[in-house]
Amino acid sequence: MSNTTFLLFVLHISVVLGSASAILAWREGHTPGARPLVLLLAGQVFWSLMLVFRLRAPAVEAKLFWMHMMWIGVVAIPLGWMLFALSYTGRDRFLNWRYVSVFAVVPVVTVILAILGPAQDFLRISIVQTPDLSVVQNNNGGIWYWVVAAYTYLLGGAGSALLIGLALNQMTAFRNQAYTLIGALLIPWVINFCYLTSVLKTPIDPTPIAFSASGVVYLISIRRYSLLRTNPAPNKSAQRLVFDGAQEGIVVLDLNDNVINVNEPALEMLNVRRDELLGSPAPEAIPKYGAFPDSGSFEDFLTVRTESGKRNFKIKTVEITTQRGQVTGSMVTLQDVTEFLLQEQRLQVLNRVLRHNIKTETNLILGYSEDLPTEAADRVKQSALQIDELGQKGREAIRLFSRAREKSEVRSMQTILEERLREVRSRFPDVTFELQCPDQTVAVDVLVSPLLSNAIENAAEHNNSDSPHVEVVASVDEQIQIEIRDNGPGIPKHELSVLSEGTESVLHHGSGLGLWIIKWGTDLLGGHVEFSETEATGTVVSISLPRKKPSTN
Amino acid sequence: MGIAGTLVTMVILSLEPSLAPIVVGLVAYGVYVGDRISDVRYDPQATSERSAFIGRHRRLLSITSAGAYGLAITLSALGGPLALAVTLVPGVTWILYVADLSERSLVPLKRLKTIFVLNSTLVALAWATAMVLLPIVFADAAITPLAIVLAIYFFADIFVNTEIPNVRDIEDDAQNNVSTFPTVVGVKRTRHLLYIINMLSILVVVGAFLIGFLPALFALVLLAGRVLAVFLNSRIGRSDDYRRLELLGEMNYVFVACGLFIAIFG
Repeated sequence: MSNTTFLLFVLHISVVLGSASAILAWREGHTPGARPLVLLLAGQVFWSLMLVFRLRAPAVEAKLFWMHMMWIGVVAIPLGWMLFALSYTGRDRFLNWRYVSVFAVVPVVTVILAILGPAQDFLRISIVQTPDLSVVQNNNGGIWYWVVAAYTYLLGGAGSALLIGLALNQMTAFRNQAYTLIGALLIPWVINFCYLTSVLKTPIDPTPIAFSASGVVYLISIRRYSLLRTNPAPNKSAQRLVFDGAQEGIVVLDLNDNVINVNEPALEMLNVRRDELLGSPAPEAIPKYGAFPDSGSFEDFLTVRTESGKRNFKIKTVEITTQRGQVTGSMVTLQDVTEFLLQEQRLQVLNRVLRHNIKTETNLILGYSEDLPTEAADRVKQSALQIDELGQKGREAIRLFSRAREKSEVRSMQTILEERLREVRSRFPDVTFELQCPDQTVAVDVLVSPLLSNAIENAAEHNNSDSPHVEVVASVDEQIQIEIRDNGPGIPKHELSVLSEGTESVLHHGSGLGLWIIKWGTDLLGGHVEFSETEATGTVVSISLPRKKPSTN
Repeated sequence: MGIAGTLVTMVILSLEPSLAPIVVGLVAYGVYVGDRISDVRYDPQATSERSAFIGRHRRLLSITSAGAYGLAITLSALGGPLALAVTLVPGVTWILYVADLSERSLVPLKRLKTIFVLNSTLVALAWATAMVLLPIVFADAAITPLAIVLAIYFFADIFVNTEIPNVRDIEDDAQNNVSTFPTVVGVKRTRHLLYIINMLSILVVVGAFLIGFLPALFALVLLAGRVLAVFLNSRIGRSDDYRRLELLGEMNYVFVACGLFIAIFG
């Protein structure tokens, strides 16, 4: 078999494999990477076909023509590879007309030069007859030859770098895909390099033949390993979705405090356009930026006037570091706390009303009631005291929520239980109290105090037994269990149903705030409360709380 | 269908034996199976036995059809760049036919498959070109008036055979906004319009015979093929078995080719 026949045979194999792979890739539709892969494989097939025509051409002029045409296939390959790498790794924001046009400048100019053929000097092709007169050795030259060479190796390298990034991915499937793809490209690349450096002395550039080996790899990968369907392309979009979909505004800054990325909520919060903010120095773009800490929460609130009025934001700065801990920038998060601050304000007003106004008014009622007949005065006094007590409970509830937002403080459970019992006992001297507590010291959040007070007080206050008795039993396991048992009449069912439903209405409501304080307090502490009946009469309030580490103080 | 049609061309035009029938056969297999695979993918509701078969053997059929077209491309390169270009015509036409260009186009474009008359014209033109031109290019022969007569004959036949299955698919096509003879003019008028196309094809054959382009024997065999086509045409709207009509229509060239061989060697 002569050299030419062998070369033709191998080139035809290359065409079959390349075409079949291109058709299979085309059938994958718009799956990431499919269309660019078609372009890459079509370039390879075109290159091989032009070599076939060149080898079969009888005249030197015809050979020259096909050699010029060959360059159309040559330049399609790096373009296809680069677009494939971008698409396959999910960088589809670069696949718009602007970027693709930039990438396509070299191929388009090459196509024009190839069509012009020997009429131009930028891409020169000269041919030399070999001793057996069957094959001609070509020598390429001209400035555009080197432009195309640089373009090919630049895009080839860039595309491979993107896929190497994929190879470092944690998902084994993506790693294997990346190795397969890089391996498939490496074969023709090495062959081309060997040909250019004359390590491989063949009559024609064997690169497109080497591409047939890549074609086999692509063919197997597409069909057997679902190459085009198992890809990480959605990752980038998903990250963008999370970034833009976050409720918090996020501004990413470089080491010079320039804004390099921003999500949609942040644009709305700062009331600026993306193009205004991106690239601008943060001290100019973000109010009060100079006062923000390098890392951690900003003590004050950031107030910005937006279209929907004045908004307040809680600011937190987080340093962005590499895996080695090197700081590369920072991220400022903005949390809209306008509603929270308004609620806080309402609670403060309510607290003042409950603390001051109700107390003053009830004192006045009590004073005026002195002038009434004894029986009526007693009734008025009783009602006034109930109003006062309700006010106290209201304040207690507000304090509970306020303290929950503060830094937690822990104390010994035994101490808290003894204090609460002592306090309730002083108010209900007819009731006998019993406390069972483990010997070990157990730390609990001080928030537990108001809910224990209410639970013990309820057990004592509503106990109409002949010999009222309240038993407090605490035990410690994985959790802290506190049970308050009484021998009273039990809690009315409708009071408990309101608690379990979590809402009240005009017609369906509890009688006070005590049970709510127990429930809210337990919820705030991450615990759980249950109300049940004892075997005889009475109620058991079971409170489960997570264990806390003892305070260093 | 493709192989028989190309053989008919080669016999009638007295062309040298070449790879053309094999190339057209491979292209026909590649495009036909590719089309069925895409039908099964985009119309998973299809429950015909053929669709079920394609669905079961999809991987094998997908690879073999892609490989067949690849082989056709490389074999056609042996016939030169023009043969290669002609070989690519049915594949490129099929891509244009099914591709939804409207998604990425700046100007409003409709899928060619949905455009009335143009859809069947494209299919008929692509295959008629391949079946007539490829053996001529392979043989390095000239395009004669008889070649044009054959191209018109094939064009008319493929056009009619493309519209017959459309009668069966009338509801699906209407739902998908695909304009075909049955969806636009109704089944009865489709039958009448296809009669006219068949008659024009017969007139071309008779005319070619009368002018002297076509020998009597070949004219008779081609007309016999037309008789079968007219019979199938007459069953439109009167038969429920459109799969059989479609199959017989596609086998028409096999009958014509057999008739030719019997007439020559019999």
